[in-house]
Amino acid sequence: MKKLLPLALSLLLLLSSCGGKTTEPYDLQATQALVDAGAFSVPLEELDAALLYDFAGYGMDASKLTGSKALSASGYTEQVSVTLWKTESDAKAAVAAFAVYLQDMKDTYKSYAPLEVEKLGNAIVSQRGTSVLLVVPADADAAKEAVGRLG
Amino acid sequence: MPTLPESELTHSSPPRSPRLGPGAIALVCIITGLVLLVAVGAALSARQETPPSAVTPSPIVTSTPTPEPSLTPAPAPEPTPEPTPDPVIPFDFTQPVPESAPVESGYFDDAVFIGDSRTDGLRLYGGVEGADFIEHTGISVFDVGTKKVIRIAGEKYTVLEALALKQYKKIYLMLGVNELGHNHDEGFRLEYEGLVDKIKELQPDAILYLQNLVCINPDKAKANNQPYYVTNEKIAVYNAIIAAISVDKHAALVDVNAALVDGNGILPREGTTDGVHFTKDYCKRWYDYLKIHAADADSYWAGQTAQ
Repeated sequence: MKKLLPLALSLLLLLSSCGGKTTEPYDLQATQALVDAGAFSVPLEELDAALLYDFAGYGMDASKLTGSKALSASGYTEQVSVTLWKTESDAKAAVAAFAVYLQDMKDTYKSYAPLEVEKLGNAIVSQRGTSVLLVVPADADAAKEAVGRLG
Repeated sequence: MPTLPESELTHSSPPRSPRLGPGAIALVCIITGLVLLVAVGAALSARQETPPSAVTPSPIVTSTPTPEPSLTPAPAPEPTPEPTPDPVIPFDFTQPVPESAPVESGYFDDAVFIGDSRTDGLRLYGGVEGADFIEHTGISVFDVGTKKVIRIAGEKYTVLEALALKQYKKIYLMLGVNELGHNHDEGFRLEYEGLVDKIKELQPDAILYLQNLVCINPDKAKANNQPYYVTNEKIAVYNAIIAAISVDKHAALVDVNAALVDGNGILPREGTTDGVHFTKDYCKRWYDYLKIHAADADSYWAGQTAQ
């Protein structure tokens, strides 16, 4: 009986985690939901996330990326992306790299286009499981509501 | 009955030829030989005088001896002369790079683009294959050697430091928009010239392309709060400076402006996001233009020493 106790506890923990809040990764289509919500002031155009974030420059391992979708506009900081990674640990590393990326953008734009710095201050970086959602919106409220609706 | 003498009887027989002596026989032989010789000679003479016939004559068998194979080695055949290459015409640095055949795949593998936010747009949206980019939003010729803004593998470098990390064969430079507000044309010229010298020093084997500045869309630029000093008039002044530097420094001028502006000489509304930066379509158009405006390498290098 004593030998079965740890096994039972482990099973209980596993069941409780399954019954908790979902950790389903963001879908790539979440980017469109942000666009549809009116979070941006200019039309965004799709581009390669690996180029937008310069994975190599920021120390992200592109070989651990399993999928991505990114939209942005030349001359603006506004953007939205979903990146999918092999493991949650990879996604967590990406979140840290994105923080450095956003700080670099702030440093760049503070003298170049100060209005963009405010947008960068409203950036949302959210990890869900193996996925990361990054939004730099023009309309911060619209963006927050849209992200909230993603469930 | 009397018998006739035998001699008489003979007279009653047909007369017999008189017998010839040896001298007569010899004479006859000589005469006969002479006659034959004359006849043969006449025949041969007649044959030689026969006019040539239109019909291909049969091969004449003559007494010409068949030449013995010579032991002297046959003379070496004259070597086929190599086609003389066309002389390389030095590149005319007073003119922009003319239209060329589309470059082959891989052409940009040994190229690097240096520039500001417009070049960043080319990197993000242009679809350029294989090239490196050393660019930064807001960078200018005044701070390419001082601002550590180029992030490579977690480390930060100045533009020139980053350029020194690797050798290239083609360098595409586009800088000048962020300098428009300096209001010091001579200062821009001096800095730009110094940058060209430095690039040539760091990259001695690279063809250096100076891309001129593309005009803006004034209405859209104003609507998007672009700086007041970013005007097409000022861009024209800087483009003249860049063109003059391309002549002085023997760098290839690429007229990207001509590729992207409309008939009125301005960037069309549909080609720009904010009046200054290019849409994805126009970034691709920029790249397409570069692909058909490549300087011939031999001509470029010949032009480096030409006066």
